[in-house]
Amino acid sequence: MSENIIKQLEGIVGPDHATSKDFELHAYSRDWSYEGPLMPEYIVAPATTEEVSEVMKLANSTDTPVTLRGGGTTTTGMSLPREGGIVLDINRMNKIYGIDEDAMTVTMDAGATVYEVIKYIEQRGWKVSLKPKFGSGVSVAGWTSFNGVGAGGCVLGRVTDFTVGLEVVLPTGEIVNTGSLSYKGAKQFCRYQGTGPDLTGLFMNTFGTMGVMTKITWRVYRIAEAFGMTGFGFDTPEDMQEGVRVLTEANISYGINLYDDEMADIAGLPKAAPWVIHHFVEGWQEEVDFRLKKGKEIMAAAGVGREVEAIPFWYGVEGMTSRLEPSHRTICVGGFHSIGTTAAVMHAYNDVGKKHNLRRGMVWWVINHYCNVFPIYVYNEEEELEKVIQAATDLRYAWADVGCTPDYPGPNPDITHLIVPEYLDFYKKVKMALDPNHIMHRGMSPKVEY
Amino acid sequence: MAYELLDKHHRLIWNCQSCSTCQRGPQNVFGPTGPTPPRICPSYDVYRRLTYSAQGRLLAAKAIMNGELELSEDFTESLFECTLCGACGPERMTRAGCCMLREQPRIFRDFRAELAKAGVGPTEPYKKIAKSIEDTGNRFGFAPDKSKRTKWAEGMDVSDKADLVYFVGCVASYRRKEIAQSTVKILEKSGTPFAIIGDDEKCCGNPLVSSGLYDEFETIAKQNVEAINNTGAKKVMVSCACCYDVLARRYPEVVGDLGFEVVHSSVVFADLLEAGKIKPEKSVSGKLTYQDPCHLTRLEVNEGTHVEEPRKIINSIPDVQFTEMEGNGMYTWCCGRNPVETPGLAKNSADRRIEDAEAAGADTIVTSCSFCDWSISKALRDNKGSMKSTDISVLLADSLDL
Repeated sequence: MSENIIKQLEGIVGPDHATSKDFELHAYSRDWSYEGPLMPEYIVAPATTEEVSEVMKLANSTDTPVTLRGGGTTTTGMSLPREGGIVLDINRMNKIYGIDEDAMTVTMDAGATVYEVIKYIEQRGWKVSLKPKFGSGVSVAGWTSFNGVGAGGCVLGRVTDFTVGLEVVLPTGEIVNTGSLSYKGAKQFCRYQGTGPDLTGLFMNTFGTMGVMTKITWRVYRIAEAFGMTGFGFDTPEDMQEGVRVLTEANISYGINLYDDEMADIAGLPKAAPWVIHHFVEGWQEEVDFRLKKGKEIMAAAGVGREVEAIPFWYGVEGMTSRLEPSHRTICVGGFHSIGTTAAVMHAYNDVGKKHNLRRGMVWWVINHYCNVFPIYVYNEEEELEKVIQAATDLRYAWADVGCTPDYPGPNPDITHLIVPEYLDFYKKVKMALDPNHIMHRGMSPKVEY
Repeated sequence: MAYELLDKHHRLIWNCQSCSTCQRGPQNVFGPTGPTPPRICPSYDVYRRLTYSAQGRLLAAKAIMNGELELSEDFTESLFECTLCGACGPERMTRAGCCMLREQPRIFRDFRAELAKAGVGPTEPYKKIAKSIEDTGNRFGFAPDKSKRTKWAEGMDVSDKADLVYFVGCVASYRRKEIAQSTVKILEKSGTPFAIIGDDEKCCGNPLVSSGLYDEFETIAKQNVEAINNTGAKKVMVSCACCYDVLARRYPEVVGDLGFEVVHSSVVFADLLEAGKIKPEKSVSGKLTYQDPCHLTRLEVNEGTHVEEPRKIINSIPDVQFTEMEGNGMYTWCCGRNPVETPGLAKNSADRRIEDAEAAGADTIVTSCSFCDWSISKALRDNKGSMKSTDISVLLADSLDL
């Protein structure tokens, strides 16, 4: 069976782009998470949508599990094969098709990296709404299917909010376009129109469990004339929460980001306060000046925080956490919560870190009136792996107790039992309709049995 | 099975974050629009599979050390499809990015040495070159006719004793004689006393140390150091960045105190310009760009990088038109390095650099490494395009009308 499958994969993508050699499989056995090693049986790297379609037809007809891999920077092991099968590497599909200035969109292959795309559009005077804060390898499909976040989402939100449409290969091999390309003769310019419900959203936050994104169209925005930032320091999570609340209510921010003194220590940034937020604004220069001034006035009126030096750190969690010597790994446990639970979320992160005696660092930001928390714990793989896994589990449950939902529900800890049963049933129906043989990302949360 | 050489890197190998920074660019230390390279890894650029990335190789190393993966010739082939250019780790220099402390090239050299010890390495082209070096003292296998290595100096008046000794290297001695000849002419023009080692010079040993043949490397390193010391040298100048790396950094690891300083010719030329001992007066046609060799800009450059000196030389030329390629200085893109050992990898890498030069509007790529020049000029010949390649010594000598 296995020889038959590898031969067929080679027939689809060519012998140089499919393999089952042991040393090649090992290269795909880990990602940025603490999970693994988990071994695939085959690696296949298609170059076109049609090749992806043929791979999916083969996998579906042979009941072979498929795990998608872009940059492999998931924090929860989502790019690792839990039941062997095929790892479908999308990185040969990396073309950027250009900006459509009429539609104000950019379209690219799934395997282009977010940084490649952002560099491409910024060189042409455009931007997406977020400044990503992660490593260089993240693919646009990864960022889109994970409904990614980044600095600067106060107004324009998450990747969901600027994704216009997709080309997707379904688990059974059919190629479909969502967005306005679903209407004959229309180009990709808007996500919602009279062709029915939001089937683009069907693939958002699905982490590759519903199909393979092959082309993605994002909205692009003109780069603002000016950009400015102010730093505010706080002594307690409660004060910080209040500061964030008043700034968010004022609706004057492009972004509100936070790091704590532990992360400052890791990244070599000045420890201006136990909790530091950056208040970013953009627009015309007069507008920027006004918003910055207003932000300071609002914070002063609230009676919390003090102005501190604002230091941009776009190089993100990976970049910051790579600064420690000696070398180490990090785990990142992400979640979403309302502004009112910010202090409780921060206390839980600190308590778990202290309980397990783990070095830690917090990165966090506001996304369109709610919050994304993204802290790391630092560990040495040889000695502290079990401890850090326990810490991740403890944190997930401690956050659940205060109403913080997971951002990327990895299989460990499995959070399926925390999902409302009626929702889970609905999800299962949709999943079974799209993926009848359950070949996509088997074993991932939410776990469903057919 | 014990892997002593790999075990030295145990903590680094275990703690690779598998973050993909080593494969995909542009890196993000300065934000999306910063001075980033156009791409990162020459090996990944060809194959686009993790197997051909630092991350994949480190996972293989871990699996081998754990006894989960057997060494094999197949694996050896994949491990040697790497130029050891160090682009996978330079962000550490700016304290963001890969956590491997810029140690990947050293780890991979030791990995190759483990393969050699186990009898599954190096690859055939490296074995052939190692045999040539052993038999003839040069990587090309030219007969050990003593007059051959110094044939480039026929008609030139070169000494065999001086404080400054010019280590010519195999490529400039046999393949690109104009590099050696131009270098000597510049030194003569400036009135700088110098000597060459002559027929006792042997290959620096770069192919040996790069392929993990450490015993053979130690032998040739000692022979060259002895030959250099016989000239009474206090300072050794090299015109090839690969030779520079080997003499300045690898020789002390196996020989200890060399008894002489190692400098790159671009540093010497920049000093001569600064001192007013040479003055370019003839302009050169076309638009120049500069290919930074990895060994002068990011690889174990503890003594400092040599990014400014070559540019100082180029910009000293009257009316020069100079443009930078995307990805320069420590973000340079590897030339491909080894047209013989890994021809496909070298060709792809060189082609990409030619594309970068074209995108920058240049028509001539200047470099200060014989291997960069060799790799790029070979690709240019194969492509039959209009771009040209030259070494900085040849460019400078032209401008000095030598």
